[in-house]
Order: sequence, then C-alpha cells, then structure tokens
Amino acid sequence: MGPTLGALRGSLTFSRFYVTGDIPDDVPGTTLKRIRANAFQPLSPDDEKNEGAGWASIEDPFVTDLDHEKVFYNEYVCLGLRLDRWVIPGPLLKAHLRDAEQALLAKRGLERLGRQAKAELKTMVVRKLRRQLVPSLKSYDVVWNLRTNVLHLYSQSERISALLDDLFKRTFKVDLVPESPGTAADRLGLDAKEARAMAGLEPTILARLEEEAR
Amino acid sequence: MELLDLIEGRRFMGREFVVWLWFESEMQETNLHPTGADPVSMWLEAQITLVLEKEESRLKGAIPASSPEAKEALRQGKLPKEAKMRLVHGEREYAWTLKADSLALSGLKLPTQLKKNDEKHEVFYERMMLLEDLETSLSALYADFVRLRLADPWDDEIVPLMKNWAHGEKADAGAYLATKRAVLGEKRKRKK
Repeated sequence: MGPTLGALRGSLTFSRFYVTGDIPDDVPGTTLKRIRANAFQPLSPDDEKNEGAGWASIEDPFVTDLDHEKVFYNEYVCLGLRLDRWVIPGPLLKAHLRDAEQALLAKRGLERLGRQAKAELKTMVVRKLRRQLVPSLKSYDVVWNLRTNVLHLYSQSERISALLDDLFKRTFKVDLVPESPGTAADRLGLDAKEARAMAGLEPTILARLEEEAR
Repeated sequence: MELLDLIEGRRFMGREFVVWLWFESEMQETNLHPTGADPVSMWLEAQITLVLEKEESRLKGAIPASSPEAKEALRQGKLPKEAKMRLVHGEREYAWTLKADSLALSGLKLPTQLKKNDEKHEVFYERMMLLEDLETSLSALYADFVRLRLADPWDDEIVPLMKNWAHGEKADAGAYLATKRAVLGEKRKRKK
C-alpha cells in the first residue's frame, strides 16, 4: 500500500506547485473525461514496461473508476497519483534464470547461449514470475485548489514530481511550476526595480570579511 | 529570468529566508507582524541544520537556534538548510520542518479539532482550511522578506545588523524595525 500520511490524515509532507497557463473556467465540467482517460490501468505481466502510473481515488487507490463525486470536493480537485511497479527480488530472478538456462541448454544440446537467446529467456522468465507476483502499489495524494491555483503533491521525491508533471499536463493541458524560493518571489509580482535586483542577486554572507573584523 | 535560473539559481534565497525569520523572531521576541496578515508568534525549535558547501552543523535541543553553536555556524558562513519551526496564530499552533532550498514543509502537525471518525469530507475541509491558514502567514512573511531582500537597505542597513546579531554584538532592533517599516510602508503606499 502507499503512504498513509497525506491530505486526509496524519502529519503533512508535501511539495507545492503553481498551476498556470490556460486554466478552464469550469474545471469540473470540462476535465472529468480526460481524468477518466488517464485513470490508472492495471499492469499486465506481458507489458514491456516495468511500471505504470495514472489517476485513482484519493481515498482509495484501488478505486480507478472516477466520477465527479470522487474527484471534486468543493473548490478542490483531489486525486491519487497511483504508481504500480513490478518488483522481482534479484536472487529469485537469478535462480529462475539459471534453471531456465540449464533446461534450454540441455534441450538444444548446447554449451552456452548467445546474447539474444539470453535476453529472450530473461523476458520469458520475468513474465512467468510476474504471473506469480502482485505489483507493488503506491499512491500519492494530489490536491489542486481551484481558487488559489496552488497544487499540493504529498511527496517530496523528484521522481514522483516528474511523474506528476507528465500526467497532470497530459490530463489538464495546463502548466505546473514547482514552488521554489525564486518562483515564489517571482509570483509576488515584482516591480521593474525589484525584478532588476532579483536578476542580479548575490548570496548574503554573514561571516565577516577580514577587513570588517579589523 | 528563465524558469530554470529562477529555480536553481535562486535556491539560496530560501536559506536566507530562514536566517531572516530567525533574526526577525529574535528581534521581535517571536511576535511577528507580516504585512497583510494577522500577527503571529513564531520561532525556530528542536533542530536546525546549517551548511556551507559540504560542511554541515546539525544542532538539536529545546531552542538550538539560541545556542552559541548556531551563531558560530552563521559566523563561519553557514546558512540554515533545514529548520524545525513553530507558529501560533490565535488559538492555533503549528509545527513543521522547513526545507530551505525548496520552501517545502515536512511533518506538519495541524491543530485539528475533528477526529478521524467524523464525516470524511469535513475532516478534509478542516485540514485544508488549517493548511491555508498557515500558508497565508508563511506567504506573507516570505513576501516581506523578498521586499526587504530586493530593496537597497538590505546590503547597507539590514545585513550589517544581522552580522552584529550573528557575532553576538548588540543589534539595534529599533533601527532594524525602522528600516523595515520604511521599506514595507513605501511598498504599501506605492501599491495604493
């Protein structure tokens, strides 16, 4: 299961983003179809990719059939960014690969396998093992305040931020600017003099230089 | 400025913001008056990590920011990378860790009244309302910092006072507050 702390319970750890660009006036009325189109799709053992991400209910990551009531809470768009991944323990894969390789060598009467045969064998073993496993599941709360256009992602991982950026832009056709000291300052609406000062800003040093200490 | 430069090239402003909050809190005996928001009490507590390149000082204690080691780290040129903070707004009390380089909050404890068994939407709305309450105060404090940081008196008047403070010398709180009022008051007048 994913993290239990987030928008709905426990202490809060998050990153903030500013939603910018061509934001529709009626987000609930115009985006539900695209949210549903980008809902989480279960992984298949035969997939080439090792992981998959998509939207789920913020309350329950197993609920991926999203409707208005599950997503829009007054002025908030609430979603779970669900990320599933096949995780095959290294020693397990190694042991199964060795057995499969030996069986194939015996069957073909060979002493060793070529690179391509090894790669094909690995794909086959991985798919077989995936059928015996369940993917690991994590879900990260995402809350977009439509009044302020500030979005909270309940994770501080750069990888999860990148996943959100991709999925969010694909779904809502808007931009996401990560909050940072610089973007937060810029958002204040600096006047021309402040913007010039900002462009040429140098870090403040509180250590005294030798001539100051004298 | 390009977005990448705005993000990566200005991360140091977050560390300066934390040190300014620390200075501001000591100058005003924790009673802060952010422009356009309610007065709050705020201070650094429990843990602070100061860094200069790869050198790091991690200090723990009730109020580590008031320890001699914390000021010594500032004198060595280190700035806070991460600090635990507490803010009181009326009856509401918040505690969290601020990561300076991103302004991100971790482990934020909200003063919720509702319990997890209450109606789930009400629990969510209460949490969002409290989060917004805290963020309003923090945004107003950050806005004040940025206005001061980008104004001429930062280098000429404020930094010398902050250096005195960091070096354990008398920092004239009256002079600081007069400068602050002049800069922020001027901004307010120009906005009108």
